[in-house]
Amino acid sequence: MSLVIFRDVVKKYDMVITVNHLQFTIGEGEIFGLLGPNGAGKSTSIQMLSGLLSLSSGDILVDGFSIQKQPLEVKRRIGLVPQELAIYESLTARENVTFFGKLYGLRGALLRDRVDEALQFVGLLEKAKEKPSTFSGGMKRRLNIACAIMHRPKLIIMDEPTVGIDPQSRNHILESIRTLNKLGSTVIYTSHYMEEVEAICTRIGILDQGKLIACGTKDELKRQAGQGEKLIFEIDRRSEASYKEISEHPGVKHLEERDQGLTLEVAVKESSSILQDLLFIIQKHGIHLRKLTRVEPNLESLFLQMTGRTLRDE
Amino acid sequence: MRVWWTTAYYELVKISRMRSVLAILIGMPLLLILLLGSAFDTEIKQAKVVVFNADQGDMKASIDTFWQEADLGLYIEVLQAKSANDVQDWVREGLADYGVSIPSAFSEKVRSGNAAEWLTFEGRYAEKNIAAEAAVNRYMSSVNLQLAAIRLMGAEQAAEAFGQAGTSASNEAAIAVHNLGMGNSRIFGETTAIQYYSATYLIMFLLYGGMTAVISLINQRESGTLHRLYAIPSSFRIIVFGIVFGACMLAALQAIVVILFTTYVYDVNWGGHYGAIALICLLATAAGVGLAITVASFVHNKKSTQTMFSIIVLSMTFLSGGMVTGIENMVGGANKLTINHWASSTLRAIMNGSSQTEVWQGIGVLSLIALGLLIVAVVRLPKVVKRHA
Repeated sequence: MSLVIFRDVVKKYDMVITVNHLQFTIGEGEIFGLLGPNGAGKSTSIQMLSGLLSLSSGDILVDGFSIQKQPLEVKRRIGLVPQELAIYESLTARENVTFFGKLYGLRGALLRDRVDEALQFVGLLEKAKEKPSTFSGGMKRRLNIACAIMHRPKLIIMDEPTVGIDPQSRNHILESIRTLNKLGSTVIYTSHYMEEVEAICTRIGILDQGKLIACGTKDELKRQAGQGEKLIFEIDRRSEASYKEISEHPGVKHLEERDQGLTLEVAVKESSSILQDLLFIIQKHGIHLRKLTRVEPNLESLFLQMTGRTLRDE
Repeated sequence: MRVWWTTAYYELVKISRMRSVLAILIGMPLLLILLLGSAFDTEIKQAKVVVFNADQGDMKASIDTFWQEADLGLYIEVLQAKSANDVQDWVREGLADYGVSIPSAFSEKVRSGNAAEWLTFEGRYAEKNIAAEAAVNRYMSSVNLQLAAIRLMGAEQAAEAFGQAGTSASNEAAIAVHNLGMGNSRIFGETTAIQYYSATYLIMFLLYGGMTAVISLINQRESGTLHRLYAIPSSFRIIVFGIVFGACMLAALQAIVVILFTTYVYDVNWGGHYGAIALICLLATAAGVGLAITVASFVHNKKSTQTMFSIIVLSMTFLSGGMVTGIENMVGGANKLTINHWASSTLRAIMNGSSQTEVWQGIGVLSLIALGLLIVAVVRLPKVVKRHA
């Protein structure tokens, strides 16, 4: 069942279209990764979904409620973890979480329990009485998350939640996201870090220039892009005959020489079926193999292929 | 209501933890009131003068009458002693600020044209000694004039010329109180200097309280917390109103502290009518918020807002006579275009017991100014609190 439905969403600033007829769905229980370079429209899309920006046309439904017609119902179901550290330095960690809990209508014992639960979840219960000004960047990020999850939202939106933090805090946050997902929350996750998206997202949408150019699981995206694996052979000498024979093999999509012919990069559809053939060709021509590397396609290369840019392009 | 109160309460908590802001908003007005109020306050406090009149002659009654004169009573409180020793003791023990002992043969010596004098005892406070000596000198000048007449014309003719010799010295006030640097004019109107500056700086810092609210909004906009608050299920205007109201609660606290402190420590008489005073403070704060939002909507960042707002508030304070008294008479009515003028002058009207009509006229004009600024602020508010407005 779809929890989030983008229905032909358009956002214009004056005459500039930043989100162009965006249409996709996110199922309940998914961790959905939203990828795109700067200016692709992902922050605008998230802000429209959170009710922070109005739509120029179209609609977004969350749990069946329209952001246009029932914004308060939509907001009740969302927990937003903004990219900025949107916490108050002059309040303690507990006061920060309590403040947001009260804004969501929690009171009394329930509020206290939820505050403890949220702080425990992000590993800050022992620091509850301390002010964020004494925290590390990673701890502040975790408090940023605690403020968004304490009302147990159905949909958690995380906008670059791991920017500028240490690996330990990053791992803690990624693990927290998996746990939240297991507990029943649907997560929308945006990041510049491809490996994070690959590691935790069940489905990925790629935005470019306000349009969704691809959407699916990692494997589905690879198939959509027609991207296969790469075999890299490092050999002791160059041989024109072997080069010709390899390039003419029906399983080879593309062959490229480097290091004066001592490295062969072979793009293949599926390595396991032709690896034996290629090794036989090399041996037949009396060439010694020094090293063989198999490279699987990743989101970075996929993204580059689809958009012509890397994620960190300005 | 829940969201509004929660944001207001936590705003108050947040601001109250910023010690520098509290020191400026509460400490500064108290310090300025003390410094300026003391520097310009020329009021002479009543000096307690202990008098023993041992004179048994015909001038005894006129001397007693002199010490009971109403205009002297403004500056001197007369205490009667039973002996010359008592006079000395009271002054030494601090029960009186100055002592006067009139010898028994005083009238006789004056009448016979001989030198006559009062014994005086100075106390520890110079300004009170000056007040008491001014009174004694005034009487003695009159007596010296009589002595000169007696020597020149003889006792009988002199007595005729003076009528009843030794009666009240003259109808002029014994001690004239003027303000420093301004001759006979009353530059603080019907109020004392400390009352004048209490009203002026309370209003000026209440206007700054309005700026605190707007700076908090800008800080939260820039840190992203305001943006996050918009994602909660409520209207953004309620959230913003809560934040502004929290800062206004601080302004109310500021007004209460300043009024109580000046009343009990500086002895400032606010004239009662605390309901009207509260209303004036509320309207000044509202006008300050309105003005600060309007300014922030045009200049966009925190530093520019602070600079521009400070220039406007200091200019208004200056034009309304808050820095140089009497300047309002030289600016061709420009003072009447300021919030400070209407708020401070109405507070002073309450202090000096002016008519209710005058007080409510001032409050009426202040209400109109606050309302006008708030309307502009509501229209311009999205420019201040939204990133993409």
